Amino acid sequence: MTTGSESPSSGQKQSGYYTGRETQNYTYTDFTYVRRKRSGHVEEEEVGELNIVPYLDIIVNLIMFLLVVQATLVSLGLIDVTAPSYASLGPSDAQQNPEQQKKQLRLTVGIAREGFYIAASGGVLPGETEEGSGEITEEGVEKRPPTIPLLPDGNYNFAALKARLREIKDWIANEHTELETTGLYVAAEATTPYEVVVKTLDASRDDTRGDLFPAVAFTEIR
Amino acid sequence: MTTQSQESSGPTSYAMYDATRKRRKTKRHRRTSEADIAYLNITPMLDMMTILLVFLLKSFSASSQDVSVENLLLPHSTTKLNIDEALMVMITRDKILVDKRLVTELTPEGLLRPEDLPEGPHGYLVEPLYEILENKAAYFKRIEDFGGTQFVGKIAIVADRQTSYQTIFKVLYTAGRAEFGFFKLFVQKPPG
Repeated sequence: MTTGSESPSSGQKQSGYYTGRETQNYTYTDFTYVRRKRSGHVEEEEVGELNIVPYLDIIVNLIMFLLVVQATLVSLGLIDVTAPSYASLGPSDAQQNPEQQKKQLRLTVGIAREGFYIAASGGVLPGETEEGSGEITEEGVEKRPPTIPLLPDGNYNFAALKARLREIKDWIANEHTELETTGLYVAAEATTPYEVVVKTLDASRDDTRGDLFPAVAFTEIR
Repeated sequence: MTTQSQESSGPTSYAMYDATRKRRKTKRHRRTSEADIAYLNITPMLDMMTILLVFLLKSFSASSQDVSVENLLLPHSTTKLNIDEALMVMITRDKILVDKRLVTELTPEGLLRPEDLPEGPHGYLVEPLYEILENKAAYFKRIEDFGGTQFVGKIAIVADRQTSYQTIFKVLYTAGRAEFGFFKLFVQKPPG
């Protein structure tokens, strides 16, 4: 097969492009084959591959920046606390439906200097009696020892609080299904640090078996 | 005649001939290796990088609230909830800020000043904070009226770990009075 540069039949020089005319020795396939073969490397250079190296540089720099920032950034979390609903605790509900009011168990965890106090209105918690210790303070208030005293090192016993709340939760679920807890009220002495309050909320939220009392509202001891 | 042609054409001994072959082979091999490196395919690496970048940007936006303020160390908590968009009230060891703007200062003991409590020392309402929060609530309601985000009364409490319960309680009470009834306590998650 001869090249397309010269036509063997006419002897004239050809331009190398297919003109639409078929000569005696050259077919359309020959022309296209020759043209593709000649200009193949040129086409490859023109199309080429997109240079992604600058893009890669930007990506690498961004990743480095984000990794460094994330390492220095404080990981933030959230604790939901809702304001107590006065409507559900008001006398109007009790007048309308006294049975429903009886079933409400208002569970309160008090944080004091001596430890945690767990109290309930609307029911007597397991392991407790309605009568107190009998010791009355000068202000005429009955004095009780804390439900969960401080640890010997002076820290609060959050593990015991968690265990006690689990006990109460099981007691309600198994023995007193007529009782209903809307949530947990947390009260603390005025000087109690916020960190202790947050740790108390953590202890009352859940344990290894599941949720305890995740709905929390703050209240105050007068 | 033969000797002359050998001298002019190449090596004269088998040792030299072998050495030349070896050198040429090494050179050819080196050239081939260089060509391989020149055509290293970096597209899979780029794919991986892009996925990593998207992941980092996503996790970056999830915890991108800036709470870096002087005298403010957040308490640690085991909560699994991520932070939410809300009006931010900060209680540092010496001041109260709303959206990082000073509202009032606290006493050196970290308690509220008597002049900020119009209902007396046992009162709960913190007047300067109430005024600002009331204005904010009115502003958010106006936005809602114009078809913007619905006002639900969410407020983020970013307090120092040593803040007293009394101060926290009074701030929450004041926020509740100003129609911000959904409190979001910002805490620090344990690392990792």
